[in-house]
Amino acid sequence: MQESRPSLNRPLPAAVAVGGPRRWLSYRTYPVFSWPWVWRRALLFGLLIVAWGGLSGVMHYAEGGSGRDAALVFAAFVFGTGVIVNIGPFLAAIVRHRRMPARRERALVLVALGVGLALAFLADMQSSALLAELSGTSFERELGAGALAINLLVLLVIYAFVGGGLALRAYLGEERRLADYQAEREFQRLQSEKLAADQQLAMLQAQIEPHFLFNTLATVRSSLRGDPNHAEATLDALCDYLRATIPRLRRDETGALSTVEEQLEICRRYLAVMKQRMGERLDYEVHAEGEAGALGFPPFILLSLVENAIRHGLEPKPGGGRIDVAARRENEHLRVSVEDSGVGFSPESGSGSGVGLDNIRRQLKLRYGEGARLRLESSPAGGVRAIMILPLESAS
Amino acid sequence: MSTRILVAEDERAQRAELIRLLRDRWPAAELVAECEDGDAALAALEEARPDVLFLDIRMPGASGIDVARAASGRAHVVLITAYEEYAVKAFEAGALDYLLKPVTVPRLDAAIERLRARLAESPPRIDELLERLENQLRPQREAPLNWITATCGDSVRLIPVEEVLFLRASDKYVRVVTAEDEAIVRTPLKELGERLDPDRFWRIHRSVIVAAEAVHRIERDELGRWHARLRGHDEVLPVSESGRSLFRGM
Repeated sequence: MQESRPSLNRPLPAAVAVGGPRRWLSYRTYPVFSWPWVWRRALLFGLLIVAWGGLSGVMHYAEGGSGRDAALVFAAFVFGTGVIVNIGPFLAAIVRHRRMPARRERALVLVALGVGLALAFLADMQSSALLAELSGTSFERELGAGALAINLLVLLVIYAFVGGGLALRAYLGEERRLADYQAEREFQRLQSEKLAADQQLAMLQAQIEPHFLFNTLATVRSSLRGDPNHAEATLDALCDYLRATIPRLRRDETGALSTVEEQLEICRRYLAVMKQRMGERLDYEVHAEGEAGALGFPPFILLSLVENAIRHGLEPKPGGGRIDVAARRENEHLRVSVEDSGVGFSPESGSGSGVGLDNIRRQLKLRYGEGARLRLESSPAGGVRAIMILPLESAS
Repeated sequence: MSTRILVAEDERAQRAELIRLLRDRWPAAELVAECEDGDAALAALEEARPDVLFLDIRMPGASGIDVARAASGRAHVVLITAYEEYAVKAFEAGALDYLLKPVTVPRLDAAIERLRARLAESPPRIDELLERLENQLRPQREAPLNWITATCGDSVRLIPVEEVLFLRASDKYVRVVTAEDEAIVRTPLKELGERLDPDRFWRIHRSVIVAAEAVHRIERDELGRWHARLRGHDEVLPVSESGRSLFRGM
């Protein structure tokens, strides 16, 4: 079985740690009862204790005590409180860093805290006695057994409270939180792997869209005799297109980012093939404004939109129409649109499963989370306008 | 009397080549109509009265299948396709023939041979075959809804189902509401509901389907009626008695 216990010397993932991002509580981002946790906590409480002890010493001096007595008050307070706060966690850290099986570790951590409690009691007795002696007040109060027991109980609660008892809950829940966190991470990893696989499949399908390929070959074959120039031009256009897309498919296996211009070029070549086939039924323009062409852009998403525009927009329309692909920078976003003057949304094609579009949406989500938008709406020209708004990315 | 042929293919080069091949391989036939889209083919079917139709399946306007349906029982049909062979193959030996693109001479000869044999008989009814074919070409019809086409102002938009918070029916239309905006559709709520994932979208009222994850809480007003409050939207939705049972066990 894989050892999945996290290092005790590094902060826990934010989702697992009980502490927030506040700097002075930074000890809480470490595993409970680890050395970094104990030291940072000791430092934090130490500062408070020293400040309070110093104040007590000064008060003692101001009330007429000697300098030596004031120093003793300070030392006794720091010693007593320091032990109460730290001894339990200190012993627990020794246990935890032995890295024993979880169940034994938990039992021994409890024992360590118990021992710490006892030691804290003794240390408190000592320092309290010293403090009482120095301040000249007597703690030898005449108390009944019941009151004494209650007194002791209250003390124990206080010791347990400050001496690591509060952290016990976080400690006991740590394992479960870690397991939840790891399960969640694993789930997300598997999900993104699946999406990446889907994405690649979609790209492959986009490449060898059989209708496109066979229809283009049919055009070439048809023109061979009657119009060899046209056959040649169509074949050249097909080669250009395949050359632009096939090697890219390999390179993009890693999901690497392409550029806007590269993707526009693929669309241009695709449309050049379609132009050979559709003749005057197709007009198109593909362009990037200013420096938009150099921006990063995920592969093959744009081509899918252009293919959609041809297949669902222009091909079904008698007389054809035009396609405009445009990319431009808009403030802190990249805006890429594909607009056609085709048949537009029909009631039938409308509320559909649109697997291709859904794929695009999922790819965008995978890469940009909530940062990307894909909008499809009817265009003023009567066809469909697809608009993508993406966060700016450099293409490096 | 010579056989009258109609050819419908939207790509000019392919159309010209098919016509050249037909003249070459079937000189006895007469080309009576040459169409570049489905609508023209439908018109020519009435005017030119062809005996045989060569129809590209994917065409602008009416599809090859639409034209074939109109010609059912009146003329013999050969469908032409670049790719749907898996679908058309089933009909090869039957009343409906097909050609694959690019069209080859031996395959065309075989089709002409069969046509000649069949021309003696009256053209068969092929409506049923076409319907089956159409269903095969659109297998995803029953797939769950991913997008809803909705009207938003004077434009039409595709709204991803994932973003939909709720659908609420009013008199003549259904409002499709997302966190950011809303649009309307004319498809009845019932029909939409049947194609949505029932685990994610709950019919909580006769007039309301809600994304379960968007529901913040349900509560009862002074009159004892239940309402749902949402995350990410202010609208309060009515919850019927049967709708309320969906929330039990949550």
